[in-house]
Amino acid sequence: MKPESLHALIIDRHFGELSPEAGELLEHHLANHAGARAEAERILQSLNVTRDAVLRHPELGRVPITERVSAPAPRRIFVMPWLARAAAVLLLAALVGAGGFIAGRSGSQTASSGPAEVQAAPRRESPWARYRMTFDPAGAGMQVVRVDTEMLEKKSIP
Amino acid sequence: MDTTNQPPLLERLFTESAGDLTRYFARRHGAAEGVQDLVQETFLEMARGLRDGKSPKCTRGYLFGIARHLSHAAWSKRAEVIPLNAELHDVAEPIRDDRVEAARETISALEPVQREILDLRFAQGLSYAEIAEALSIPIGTVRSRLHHAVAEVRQRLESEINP
Repeated sequence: MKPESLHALIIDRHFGELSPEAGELLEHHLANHAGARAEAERILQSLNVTRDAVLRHPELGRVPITERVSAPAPRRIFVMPWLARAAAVLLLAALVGAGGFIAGRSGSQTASSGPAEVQAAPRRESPWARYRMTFDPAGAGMQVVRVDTEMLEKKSIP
Repeated sequence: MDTTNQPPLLERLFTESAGDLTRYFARRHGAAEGVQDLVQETFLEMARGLRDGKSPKCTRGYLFGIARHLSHAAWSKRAEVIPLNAELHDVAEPIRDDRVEAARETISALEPVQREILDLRFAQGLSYAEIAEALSIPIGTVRSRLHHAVAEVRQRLESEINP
C-alpha cells in the first residue's frame, strides 16, 4: 500500500469515515505489516497534535468568509469612452501622416530631381501602385503622389 | 413506519444541536450573553429556509452553515473578539507544548478553508458530509484538505525532530 493511501485511510478510520469493507482491509493490512502499523501510529500522533492545536487555539478557525464573493467589476480606465475613441483616431491619423512625411522626405533626398522624377513615372494602372506623401522643394508643401512600386524596385537595383 | 410520535425536524434539531451550536458560538465569540441570541437566530434562519422550500441534504451541516454566516456577521460588527473562556473547551491530554506550538504555526499558515475544516472537525465533531454542507464545498475537498493539513503538521513535527 502506498504511504499516502495509508495516511488517508488511517485518518478516515479515525474519524469514522471509512466504510466497513475498507476498514476490514485496512485492519488486515496492518495486522500483516509491522511497518504499516508503525506508520499508522505516527499518523495518529500527528492527528492528536493537530487536534490539540486546534482545540487550544480557537482563533485558527476564525476565518473570514471569502467564497461566493462576486468578482469586482472591472475598473473603467476612461470616464468618457467616446473621448478615448476620438483620441485614438487622432493618434492613428497623426502616425500615418508622420510616417508618410518621413517616407516622402527620404524619397526626395535619394532621388535626383525629387517630385519631378516621380511625376515623370508612367501612370500605369498597376495593382501594386501606392500613394506616398512627399515634400515639394518648390515650397508648395506636402503633396500626395502615386508611386509605381515596379519603378521603385528597378531604382533600388544597383 | 410510524412517524406520529416523532418530533418535527426543527424541534429534533434543536434538541440535538442547540448545545453544539452554543459551543460553536462560544468558541468563536466568547461566553457572552449574545451567544444564546445567535443560537436562536440560527434556528430562526433554519425555519425560514425550510418554510421557503429548502431541503438540505445534511440538516446539521446546513445548520452549521447558517451559524457560520451569522457568526461571521456578528464578528465583523465587533471591533474585538472576546477572549475565549477557558472553561468552554476541554483539551485532551497535551502531548508536548512545543509540538502543539509547531502544529499551531503550521495550521495558521494553511488556507482559511482548511483551518475552518479542522475547526469544524476537531472542535465541533462534524462529519465530512456535514462540513461539506456547512462550507458549501464537495466532500472530496473536505477529505483531501483534512488529509493535507495533517500531513503538513506531521512533516513539520518530523522536521523538528530531525532538522
